[in-house]
Amino acid sequence: MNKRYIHILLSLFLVMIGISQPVIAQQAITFKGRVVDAATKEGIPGVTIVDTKNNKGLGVTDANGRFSFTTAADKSVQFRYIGYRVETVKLNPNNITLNVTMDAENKSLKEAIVVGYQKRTKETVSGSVAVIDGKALQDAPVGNIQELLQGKVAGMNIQNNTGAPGFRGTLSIRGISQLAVSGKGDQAYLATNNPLLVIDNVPVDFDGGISQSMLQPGAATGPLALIPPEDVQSIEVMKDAQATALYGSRGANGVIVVTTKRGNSPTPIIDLNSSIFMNTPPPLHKTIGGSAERDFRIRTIYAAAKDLQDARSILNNTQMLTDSLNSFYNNSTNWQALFYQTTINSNNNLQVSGGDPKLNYKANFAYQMNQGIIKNTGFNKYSLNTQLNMQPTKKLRIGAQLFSALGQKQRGNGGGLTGNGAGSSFTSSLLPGPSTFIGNPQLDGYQNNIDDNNTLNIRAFIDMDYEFLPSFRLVSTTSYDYYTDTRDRFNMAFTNNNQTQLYGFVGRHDELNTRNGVNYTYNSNKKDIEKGHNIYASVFSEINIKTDNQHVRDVRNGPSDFYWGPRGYSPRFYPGNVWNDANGINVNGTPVSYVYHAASWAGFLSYNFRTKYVLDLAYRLDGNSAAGVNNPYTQNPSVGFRWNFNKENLMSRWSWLEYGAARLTYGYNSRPSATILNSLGIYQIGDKPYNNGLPIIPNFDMVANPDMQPEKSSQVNFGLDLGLFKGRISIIYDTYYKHTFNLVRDQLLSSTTGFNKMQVNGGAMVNYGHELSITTRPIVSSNPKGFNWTFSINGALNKGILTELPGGSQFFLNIDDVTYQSVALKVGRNPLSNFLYDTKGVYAKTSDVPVDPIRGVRYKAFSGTGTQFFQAGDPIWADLNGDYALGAADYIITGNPDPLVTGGLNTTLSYQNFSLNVNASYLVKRDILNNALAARIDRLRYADQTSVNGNPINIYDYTTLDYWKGVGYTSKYPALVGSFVHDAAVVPNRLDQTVFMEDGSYFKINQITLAYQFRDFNFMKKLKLRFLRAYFTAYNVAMFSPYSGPNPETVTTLGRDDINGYPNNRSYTIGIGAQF
Amino acid sequence: MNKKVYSILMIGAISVLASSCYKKWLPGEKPYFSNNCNFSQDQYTVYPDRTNVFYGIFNSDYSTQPMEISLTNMTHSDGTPAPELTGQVDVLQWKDYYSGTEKSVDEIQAKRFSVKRPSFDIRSTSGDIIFWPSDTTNIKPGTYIFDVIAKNAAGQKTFQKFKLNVKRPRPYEPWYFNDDTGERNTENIDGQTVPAYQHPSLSGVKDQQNIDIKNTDVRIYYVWKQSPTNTFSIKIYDKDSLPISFSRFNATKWDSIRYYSQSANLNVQFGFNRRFSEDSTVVTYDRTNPYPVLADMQGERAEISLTYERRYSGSRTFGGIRFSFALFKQGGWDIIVKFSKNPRFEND
Repeated sequence: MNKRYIHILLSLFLVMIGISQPVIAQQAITFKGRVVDAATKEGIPGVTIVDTKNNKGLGVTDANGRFSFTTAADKSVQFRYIGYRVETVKLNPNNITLNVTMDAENKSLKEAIVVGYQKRTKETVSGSVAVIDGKALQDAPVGNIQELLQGKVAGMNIQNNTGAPGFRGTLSIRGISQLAVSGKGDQAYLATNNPLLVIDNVPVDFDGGISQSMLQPGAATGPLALIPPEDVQSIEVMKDAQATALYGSRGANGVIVVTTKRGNSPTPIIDLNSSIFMNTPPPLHKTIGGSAERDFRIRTIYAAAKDLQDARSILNNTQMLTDSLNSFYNNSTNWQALFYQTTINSNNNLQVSGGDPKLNYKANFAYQMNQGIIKNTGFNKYSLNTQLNMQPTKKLRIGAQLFSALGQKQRGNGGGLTGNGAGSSFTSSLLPGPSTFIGNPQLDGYQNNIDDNNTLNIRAFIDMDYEFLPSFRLVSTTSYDYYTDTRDRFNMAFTNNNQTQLYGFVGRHDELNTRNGVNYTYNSNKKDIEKGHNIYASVFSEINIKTDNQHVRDVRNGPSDFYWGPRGYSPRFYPGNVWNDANGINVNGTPVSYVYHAASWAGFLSYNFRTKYVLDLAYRLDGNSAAGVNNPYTQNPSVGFRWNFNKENLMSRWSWLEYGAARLTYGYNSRPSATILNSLGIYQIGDKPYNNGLPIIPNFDMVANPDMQPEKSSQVNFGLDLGLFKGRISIIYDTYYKHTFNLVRDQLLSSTTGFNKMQVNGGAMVNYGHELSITTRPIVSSNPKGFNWTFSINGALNKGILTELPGGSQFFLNIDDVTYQSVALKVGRNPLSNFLYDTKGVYAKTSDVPVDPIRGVRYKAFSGTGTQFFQAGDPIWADLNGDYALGAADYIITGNPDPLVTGGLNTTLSYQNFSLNVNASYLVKRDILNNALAARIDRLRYADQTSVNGNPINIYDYTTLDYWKGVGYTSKYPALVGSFVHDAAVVPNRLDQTVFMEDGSYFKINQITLAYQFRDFNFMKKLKLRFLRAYFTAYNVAMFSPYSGPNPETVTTLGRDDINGYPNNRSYTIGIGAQF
Repeated sequence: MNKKVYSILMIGAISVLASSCYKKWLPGEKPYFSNNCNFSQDQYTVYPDRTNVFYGIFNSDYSTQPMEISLTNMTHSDGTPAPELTGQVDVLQWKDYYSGTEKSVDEIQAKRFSVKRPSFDIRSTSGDIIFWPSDTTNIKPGTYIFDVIAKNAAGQKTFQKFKLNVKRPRPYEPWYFNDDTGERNTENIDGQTVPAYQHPSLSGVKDQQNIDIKNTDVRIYYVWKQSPTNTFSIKIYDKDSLPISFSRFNATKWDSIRYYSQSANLNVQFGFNRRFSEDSTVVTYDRTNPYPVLADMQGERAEISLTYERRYSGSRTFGGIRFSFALFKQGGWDIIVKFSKNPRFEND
């Protein structure tokens, strides 16, 4: 019995197996082959091979594109890979070796980009988004990745206006949208127009929450300086209201999304990038030295003194000119060169990555040593970025990332952001050079003073999404970002007017951000979304908590140069100290200490019909703890529409049109303008006791305005995307009209209120313009080793107009009492204009000076009493009010420090294994004030001194200037030195005149890279190198400009060329990139 | 081929057209008029025999230039209109600047030219108010009321009820008469109230007993006389009204006498064409009218300093008198310095 049963069972079992066998045994064939890219004929790793019938994965190609899978012969399989068209192959049992070629798809359309934290395809995005591939940011080692973005995105204006390593230049998207000017003179600057920075879906303050002001107390290293360019996969720039709507009020100035690389290879890949680069100082300013300087000084004293007796008396008192044989005072020291140096630095990056979409990982180590061209400046950074993504089931995906970085910056002798240069620090060449017994305070300061800044940044995030119901996904992202800034500064007494200065700064700030939401996707035709209705909806809420604490200790006048601690309350500022430094600024204390909370809710709906017509609706509500009490919330609604017209029946017949889309968007963005100070007021301890106790009284400078509204901007954007001739030409065109209103301005109050001013909403301005970006591939050869040429150019034209000031006012003047270059705001003109005297030439003879018929005297420089009459050699300033005197009424409103057109171009040539890449950027029409030239001319007056007001005097090479030389001579610049008395009264070379306002247009070659790709060499196989590339880069190669100063780019946002700015250096790099 | 070119052009043209009308939605730049523009004074005191200039009194507060400022509605203090203020008079204006290095009166006069202007004038672009020298029979001393309108392309403002006080003429400075009554002022010397006269400043001048003479013991009188050309003469008398010869002032460097002119920023030569009388008691100079040049603009005075040396108490001492003045009336003037105590010139 049992045996029979067993037999029957066994035979049944065998039969069952036999029946089920056909699934496997029925012509199960192993197919092998290779998948190559149709254009480059290279193997594509990571291609998924899918059984189309039951959508089951059959295998993945390996690192060389080879695959092998076993399946039934009559199936058809699909080869799928991102960026390529899906290849469907019907299996044929007779053909087991498959050589599959895959065509690259319109990467630009089907690729996924993340807009507003939502993953979309570029084809369905109606906002204006520009994508920069990470490959475009390679091969140039810079301190801050922002430098490499210059000229790559139309509408993003980046000016690398400082060469100080680790500091960043200026950035604005679609014009300036701020009116607040702070600071005075060369240090005057505009409030920043920073966009929001999103790193791998984590929103981060662009500067790490640190204000980049001139009085920056701390290290001033932002997050962009710490990200290594080799780790960047792509950067997306969101420019219009629709793309930035879901980022909320922090994205009101645009959003920059940085995506770092992910692992994507079944076998782990090790990428090594290493390079050595040399920073060389720019051409130095021509100065006069040695006997030419001595002759100039003596000649000037003779010519400019009142008479011979006065000249002799001045010469007698100028010790350095009295004896031409005195070896102490008759040198020819090249001081400038002593401040600058050539440095050799290195940049290294090691990345280990691997995995597949189910589990991938990446670890990126980076180290860069970058010493600046001015002694004791530099920026070293170390960073480690690790990332892990898991998708255990189709429904659940988890990602985690830990980023940590350390930036060490030395600021040398510099103070603020751009005041690190050596422009005004070098003294007369007649003085002896530095030696054992002779020091120069300024040079010693640059060499021996210490200014160490350390920034430590740790950022961690974890994000996951889970499909809890079909078509519903739950998304959650939580991140924590922590910074520590320290700055230690020590100035020796010799360099600091006989006072030592010991300065310590510690700042910590952190940000906790969590975002949770639900997505819903609906496709009416699941197999082919191009044939039905598609809806994508999501809602999420975001909570953000920031804290920031900064502490400063400034101890001056210590007992010796070796006293470096402990640091406590500075004796110099101790109240009750009879030698209290009443005129000094006491920075001791805690300048910043706050906790900030923000909560937001957002909803998004996107509907598209056959991916042909797309409608996007977005809305976000933000509330934060610093807002005005009566208006704590800001709203950001937006609507967008996109028409992919190449899918229309009519146009799909046009073979020359590969893709085409028209976009139209409109949206509102609010930027919170209320701070605790202007919406709630400031209270302070009263200085006089009341009823024997110290009262707490309001600060009577500013009265609170609880009705502060956020600053708003509404923007209309029309865009056109075209791809022509099978990808040979692609054109992106955008035009926009952005209206920014409710800008916060000070309103002065009547003295009867007891307060000075109140901040109100009332300013408004409009920015409109056009952006065009064209990429072409004029020469493409089918042979991958043949000659290929890609060329792209982009440009943006932006005009800004001030449309409103509070109270219906038409004109406002920001008076500058340092350089008198005031900034004028006038409705109907560009938002910021210069306010200068109009120089029309130079008086050739004294008889040319106009005479007042009523008063019988010549035109003079002051309308009160005094004798500041003009003479030959003085500039001709237009006398607008006809009163024959120079006064406030003679100023004209002129100029625009914001550029009109900015853009860049890029060209890549490749032949055989060589490739040459040239990257350039340009700027057209910008008015900058050449304060550096004016400062140098001003020094020529002091021929009898080596320093004035603590600033050393050196003699600039004036022979290149067209200055007035004598009676009857016409020239552009006035006489260098009229007479000592006259120049002090009339100040012909003053800063606030149009002769120093020049056009700062330029064309700059940013980068030239020559690279060689090693292919199929034997040593590569031995070392298991998949990929080896060597390159040589020249960075910051040349600048062509009509500007008479050295560099029209290193100017402040208001267009002031500071003599003390840190120059941009040229660098040469040799590097290799290898992949194992 | 054609279709594609056509369609590209259409798309381009539409967008360019659409965007070029951005400008229409925006306000253009307009001129600006500030309602805070103001005059620094609203009462103007003028003397009819000189050019009175009120300079730099209008502050336009950054309004767009050029502005147009005009005087209107001039009336007497009782409200009756005052057309005499707008009547045209011949005035002298400058075509070249006064440098202070001219050698003769004719050189200075060559720099001037004659033009017709209203008596009460304003410089239209800058708001400087001028009252030209006028005839007191025509414009009687008193108070006049007038309005000023300041305007430019963006707006205007009327300043109402400014006062013009026309005083009695002052033919010379320093003037010690009351502007309204015409009576000489008084001064207090040693507790006594006496009529006020100009006193020169004395240094080292001693009387016959070698006691310092106070400056209140010396008076300066100005006497006008008819003369075809503009001149002035200086005479010095002692207490008995006997003339003191200028040869007594033996340390005076006559050719080097200079006074500082603010208009020329220079030490200008004192008077032109100096001549002495036969007995050296009267020195006469030619002058411009007013004298010094531009005395009415900047308040300048011509200064003369006469010094003598003598031996006293074993050392060489210098004594001297110094005084400054300005003359506004055409013709000849005698400037008489009268000592009430005799100075001692002899050596001791």
